[in-house]
Amino acid sequence: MDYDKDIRIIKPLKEGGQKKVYLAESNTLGKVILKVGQCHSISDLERIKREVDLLRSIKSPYFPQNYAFRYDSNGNFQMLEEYIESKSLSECMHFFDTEVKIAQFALELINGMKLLWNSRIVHRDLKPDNILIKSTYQPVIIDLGIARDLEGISLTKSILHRGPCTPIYASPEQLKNMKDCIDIRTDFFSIGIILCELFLKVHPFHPQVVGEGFSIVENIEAGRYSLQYLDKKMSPHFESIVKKLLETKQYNRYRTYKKFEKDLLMLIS
Amino acid sequence: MESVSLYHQCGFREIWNIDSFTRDRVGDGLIISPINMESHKVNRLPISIKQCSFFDPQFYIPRSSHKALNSYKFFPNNIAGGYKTVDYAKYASQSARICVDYQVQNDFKYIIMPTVFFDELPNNYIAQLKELYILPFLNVISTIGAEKPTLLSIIVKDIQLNDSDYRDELLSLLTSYSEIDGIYLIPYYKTTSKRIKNADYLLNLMTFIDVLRANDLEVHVGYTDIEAYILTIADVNSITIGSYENLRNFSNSISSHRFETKEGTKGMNGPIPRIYSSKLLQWIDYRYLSSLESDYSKSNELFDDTEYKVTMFDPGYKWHFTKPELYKHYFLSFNRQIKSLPNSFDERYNHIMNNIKKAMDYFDGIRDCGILLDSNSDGSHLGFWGTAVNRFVKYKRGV
Repeated sequence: MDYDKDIRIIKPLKEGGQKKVYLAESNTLGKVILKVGQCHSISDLERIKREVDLLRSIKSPYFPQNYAFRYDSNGNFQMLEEYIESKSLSECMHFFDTEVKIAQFALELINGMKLLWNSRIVHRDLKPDNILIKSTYQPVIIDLGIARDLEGISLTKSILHRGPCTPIYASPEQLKNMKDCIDIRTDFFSIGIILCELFLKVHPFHPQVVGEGFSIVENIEAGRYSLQYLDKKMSPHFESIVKKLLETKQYNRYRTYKKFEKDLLMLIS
Repeated sequence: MESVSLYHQCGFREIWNIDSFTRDRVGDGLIISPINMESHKVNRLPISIKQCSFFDPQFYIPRSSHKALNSYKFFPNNIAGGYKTVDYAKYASQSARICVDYQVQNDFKYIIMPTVFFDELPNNYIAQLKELYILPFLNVISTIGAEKPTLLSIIVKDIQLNDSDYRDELLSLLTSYSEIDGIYLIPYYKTTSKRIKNADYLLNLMTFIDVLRANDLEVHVGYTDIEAYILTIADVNSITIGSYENLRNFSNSISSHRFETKEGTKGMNGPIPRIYSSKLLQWIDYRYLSSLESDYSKSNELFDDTEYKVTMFDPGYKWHFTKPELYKHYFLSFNRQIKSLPNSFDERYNHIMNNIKKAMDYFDGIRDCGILLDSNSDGSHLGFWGTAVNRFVKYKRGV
């Protein structure tokens, strides 16, 4: 595809890290998402290539389709992805106002994520901004840039203080950059934060919720959170599910998504 | 809680285990030891035995050139033509494929993913285990779509149980694979005593098992001696019985170089023969038997009635540690004990504690009549056992 002739940028959507994201129009594909950026290291480029490979291998309504990817020797890259008519989860949290709706959302999210997890891939950056919600309320998971293939070579330097992540949605093992410990339970922790946030409408590790003194990240590392805020209080069943997701030690979280799924189904029924 | 299965930890003279299993109906199956049984002999075992048994690939010392292992192509030292850790990655998948095929073709109950023994734990031992053993086996198992349940083997040293960082690291690893069904757990504990007299260690082992069970993993504890009796409070799925001491203590297996050199008893300076007493929860040096018989009024209660006891108690019996009766009696007696354990937590706790207390009473009676048992025959372990069980129950109840 000749990007320069085929693509017309409509408006910028997001800028951050190493890339800019645009809404664009393609003569052949219609509305598309164009990601443009520059990699400053080989490992950055490898991450982007990995994301492309992943999206191309998955082909699922839970993930955007990748149409094209190119990069040059200076590390500049362009990526063209499916445009999904949606809002980010951050923008429509208000819809998820009951435990049942939250549990149904979680089941949908698991349905999508199992495509990665079954291939031994961990997303590592699940957060409301990386989950799009369609008008049917089906989630679409985006930004697989730091997803890790558990059998692949790690792109993260062990000496880094913190592993790649969005710290306020990261698990304790990510924050400590314990690379050997990253597995699907790392994503479970992030999902735990998201589910709590949907219920409480505030981050469960936020100082506003647990008491002033420490930052969200410090609270995550210390396992300090609250499942109660203002007049919002979880049912014992829902509480037991999120508590299990938010365990500091991985071996105390769900071991498999099947058990997690089962508990959610019980909650709904 | 589930009822506890008992497997014969086979080794040298595995025929005793096979006899005990088939003739005396002791145990639920065998754990086959390739260093003691060449491949063609394993292939010839009756299918009825293999289907309820498992095969331990024994990669513990991967550089081992043990002669019996020559018949197993998948063994690291054979497949690599001389094992070197740095080179092994290129052979790992092939070894895993042949080893899994072998277990499936023989129709064993489980597929066992092997592990290695590290004398000193290297910094990257988790990474080594994953890269060279766990992932290659998991890949093969998923590729062939094996339907048999899979157990991941792991050796757990006392330092890994006592140190919270080591413990967490290991538990994170063991609980991280959704594809596996359970753990073949091999405790490694060095002691000069015949019994484990360390309540902290026993408690740590129980809580470690408890975490695995809470993760819906089966836990099969290998190389156990009679301490396994109290481990049942942690809801283990199975424990083992073995004849010689190195089959009841993995540390003995390592220190006796069992995985590296051919075993035998010729010229061996063997241990003093002992007979197992289910009432005393102890193996008793046979040289105390005449004193017990003449001076202790309850001596006839101490040893369960078995045909092997009849043989051993014959005045003309020549006691020697290589005699099968010692072990076959233990197998029968211990099997009865394990099979009589209740399946509710509270009832099992009371049952075990009552038996520990009864054993202490017997020991008091023996001492009161003037028989002074040595530290490997007395009841000095029972306080530690009882304490460990009580502390575990408190931990479970959140007290």
